[in-house]
Amino acid sequence: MKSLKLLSSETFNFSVDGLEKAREVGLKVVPSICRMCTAACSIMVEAKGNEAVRVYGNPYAKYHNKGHICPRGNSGPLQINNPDRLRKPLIRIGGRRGEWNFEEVSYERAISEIAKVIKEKWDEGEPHKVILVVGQAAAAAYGDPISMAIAPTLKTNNVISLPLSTCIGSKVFAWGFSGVPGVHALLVADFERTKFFLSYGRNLGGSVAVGLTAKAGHALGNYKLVVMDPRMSEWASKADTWVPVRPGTDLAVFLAMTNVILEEGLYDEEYLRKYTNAPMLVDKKTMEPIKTKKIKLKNPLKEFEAIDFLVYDEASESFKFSREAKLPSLTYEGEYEGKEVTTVFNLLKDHVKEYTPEWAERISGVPSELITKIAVEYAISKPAAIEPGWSANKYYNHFQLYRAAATLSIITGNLLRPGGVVLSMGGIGKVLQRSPPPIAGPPVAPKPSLLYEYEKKTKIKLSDGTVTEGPLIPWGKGYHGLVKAAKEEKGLVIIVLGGNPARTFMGKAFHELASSPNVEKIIDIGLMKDDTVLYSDIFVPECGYLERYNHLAGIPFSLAKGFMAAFPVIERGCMSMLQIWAKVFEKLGALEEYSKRLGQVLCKGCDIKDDLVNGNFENIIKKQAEVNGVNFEEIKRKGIVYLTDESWGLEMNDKILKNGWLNTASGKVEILPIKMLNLIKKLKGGVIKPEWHPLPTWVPPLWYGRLGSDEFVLLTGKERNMSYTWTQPNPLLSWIVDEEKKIWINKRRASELGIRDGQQVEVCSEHGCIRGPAKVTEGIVPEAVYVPPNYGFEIKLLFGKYKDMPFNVLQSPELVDPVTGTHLMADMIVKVKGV
Amino acid sequence: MKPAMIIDLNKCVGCGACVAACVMENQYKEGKPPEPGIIASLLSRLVGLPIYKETPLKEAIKRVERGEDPKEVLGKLFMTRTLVVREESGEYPNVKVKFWHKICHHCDDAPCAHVCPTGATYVTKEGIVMVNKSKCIVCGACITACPYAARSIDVYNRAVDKCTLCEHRIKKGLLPACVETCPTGARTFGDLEDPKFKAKVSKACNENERVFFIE
Ligand code: SF4
Ligand code: SF4
Ligand code: SF4
Repeated sequence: MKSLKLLSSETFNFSVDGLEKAREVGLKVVPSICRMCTAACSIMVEAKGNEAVRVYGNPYAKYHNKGHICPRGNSGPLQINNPDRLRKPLIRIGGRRGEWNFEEVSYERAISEIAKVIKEKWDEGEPHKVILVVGQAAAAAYGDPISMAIAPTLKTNNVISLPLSTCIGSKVFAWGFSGVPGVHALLVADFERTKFFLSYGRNLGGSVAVGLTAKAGHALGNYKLVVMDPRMSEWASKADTWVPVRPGTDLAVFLAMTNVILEEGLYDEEYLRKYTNAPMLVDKKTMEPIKTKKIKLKNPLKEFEAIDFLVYDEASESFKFSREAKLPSLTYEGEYEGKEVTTVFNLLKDHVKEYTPEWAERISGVPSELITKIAVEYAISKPAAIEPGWSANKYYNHFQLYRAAATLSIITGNLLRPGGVVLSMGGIGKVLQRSPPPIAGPPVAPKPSLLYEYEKKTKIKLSDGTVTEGPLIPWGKGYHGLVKAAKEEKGLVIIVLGGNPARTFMGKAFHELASSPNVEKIIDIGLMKDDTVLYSDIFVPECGYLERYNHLAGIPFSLAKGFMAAFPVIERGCMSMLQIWAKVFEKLGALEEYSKRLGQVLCKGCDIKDDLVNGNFENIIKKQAEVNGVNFEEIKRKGIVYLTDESWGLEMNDKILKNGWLNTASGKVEILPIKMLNLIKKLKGGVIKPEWHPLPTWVPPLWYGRLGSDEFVLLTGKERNMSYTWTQPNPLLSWIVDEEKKIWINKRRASELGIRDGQQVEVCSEHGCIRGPAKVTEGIVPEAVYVPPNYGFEIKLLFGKYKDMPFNVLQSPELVDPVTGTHLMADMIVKVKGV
Repeated sequence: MKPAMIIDLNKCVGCGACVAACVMENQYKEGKPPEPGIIASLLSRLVGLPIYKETPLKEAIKRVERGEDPKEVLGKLFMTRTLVVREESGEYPNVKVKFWHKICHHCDDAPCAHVCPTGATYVTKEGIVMVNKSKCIVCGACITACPYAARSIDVYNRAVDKCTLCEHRIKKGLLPACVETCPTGARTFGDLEDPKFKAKVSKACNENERVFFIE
């Protein structure tokens, strides 16, 4: 066993040497990208003949998943070879949607049918009646190709992105308003350099994105970890301090922390003066900047227009524009041209004064001394990071929650600083390109779309009892607009791309759409037999991720600049998403357009038309590699290639901060977002409500103050085996790496209700009921009941488990976040009983 | 060369990647099951014990389609040489959670090897506790003797199955599958003759084994 020496105790738990040695002795290992969740870990896949037998974390992925993968990633071959995978296209031959009555057809036939449906819409002059519903996995793999090539070639701007509309919308905007894109892969906590990490709203131990777990996990012990979670999750079990908090009230704790930090003078004064709009002089009453001027700025990618704002310069004792002042005052108060002015810093300090730790304790259940202690520790540990957020939108106040998190990060001088919250490679690119405000993520509908118009009509009840029409930012991405459209507009065509909306969060809304006569056709381009197929008219299977190429793409979550790509491990005669669309557009005579657009997205305008039609993706990757300065042979062997190390990303973050290149109106970090003020004026007539107050503001979750003594607040989260829609059919995930007891209930509450551990219980909201086995535990706040989101199905699945536990029936598509229209996942009151 | 594994419970988040990797490496990847040995064939003929001929996945599909309980079928076919189980203690809100790991500790003085009547269980010169499946008569003595509940039944071979420290991988200079995949670095692997690795072990709770737990 001499070769054991190869592994030194100093190495990470992976070895490039080992991999290459194994290759030398004939092991066939192909680099790929894991698509068992949205996090796109870099993997190496071992093949035996035409079978993928093992998936490994790619040891070359030094700054990504570091050679590790999670249980879902490991179980990939069981998805590929799953008995419930559909290999042939299906066309409905009768019956209603919801009945299994299909004929297996060829790809050719199914594609012709799809083209026919679209052509009809075009001929009727109503291409916008084609609505794309993009699932989690497809959004992660093909986000830009779908929104920038497929949708525009279809001539529709109605694209519902399920991750944006159900998971991340509110945090994307909340961070976005301060100038950084809040999309997962683009904004990250810098675990490797931090001294303190404040985690909330997320279970890094059971959550998707093992790349982040790897970074956070390897560094455990180097930083102090505080986990605020109503449930003692896997990640909370690693915390120095677990802070059990009532569901949806973490906002109160953050507001009190902000108050403590400002009152105790623990903020980062220099950072606030130099890099933020804390010194901006504003009208005391309207919060409007008192004076601004247009300026031209230039970053490495773009020249752009911004504004500069007036400050009081303590150095020259005069009013100056911020970029000209030496020492902008944080605390100036006085008169400017006859108007009473103050600074944003003063406004914020006053604004949060009422949010004392004692006040927050009453709401959240977190002891006031603990709140103060965490606030002080967070502020004085330099650097300190706060969770930028994951599947965030669970409660009605989540927009303000993430505004508060961003504010905490800013006032302590930790945004865009090493060890704080930083932009990844993708985030840096989006900010420098000044991508559409405020998200710098997938583009907002370019023109007001059909969905946008209907979203605007959604009536939302606000915390002060008034009702508003449409969220502050209707952006045409949510399905509440679609449900409304389907009541009034005839002839809609819904195309689902890679997801299971009939059974994930869209759930009920999807069923409603499927039974509407106004929905002419539902087309599903997917992978597995699932409830969405059941409710569709045409189904086309795409390749599984181990059966196809993945075009060259940037590395998510990474401070180092580089690219990754995937190569097919096995050959199964299937078609990939991009190719299916090439064939559809070929029939529609729009191939030229599609390939031009896709060429633009993938490789700065290279010609990929023939490659697309022939399915020659290797050639496309070659072209992409050339454009991006990547050696093709290297990427083919390693799967991931770095052009820089992490110091590049840290340096770019520093430059963006110091030069004021953020994606805000002023280019500086904005505590009081100017764009937000403008939006409120434009869309809400300047009326400020707590829900969209531009400074972090308390908004109670919907359940607050309405909870009966026999009731609970619904809570959900990530489990270690949760792979969006692909957990249940996967025998390893659903039966081996699973915890049997699913519905968490506090021990005291359980005994009051006579519920035993492991007993079957029923959980009912006003919208519906589910059933599953109880886990009676001390590890959850008494007010909450936890239900995992990834179970329940209608269709027959061979290895399916917990059929009667479809989380989505507890929800209502009507409940949305009043700012972004993102759907609420868990702000529901439920009752529990033994059955 | 003294191979050993350290499991740092302070780092383990209970994600179960190790469990999945082990199953995929040691059950799934194997693919075609072995031909039933003489003893297995004999037993199956005499007492009607089932013989499993297909790969674990195919076998599972066949059986579950026939109406057998997926939990039981999969539990048999995908043997878990390692498992990670959540253990809670304390009262709300002062709760502690630890993850208990089922895994062979590769004890220096292995009780399972002592009780094995046929010599099927043996200890290699590097200190890895192994089972020679062709000698195993499934008497179950080792299963009872193991203080860590680390042994299970291999229905294919009609023998006892257990963690091999991925001997087949470490021989090639690869890490054990579970160690390689572990996202947090809770599971590490090395050579006790390497002073740096040895130094880490000094924090562990039981030094008379080859799988060390740091708590
Ligand atoms: S976190 Fe797991 S499922 Fe997600 S991409 Fe990584 S290995 Fe795959
Ligand atoms: S893979 Fe590592 S972190 Fe995950 S359960 Fe196993 S030992 Fe713990
Ligand atoms: S060392 Fe190998 S056999 Fe042992 S538990 Fe880990 S993966 Fe399984």
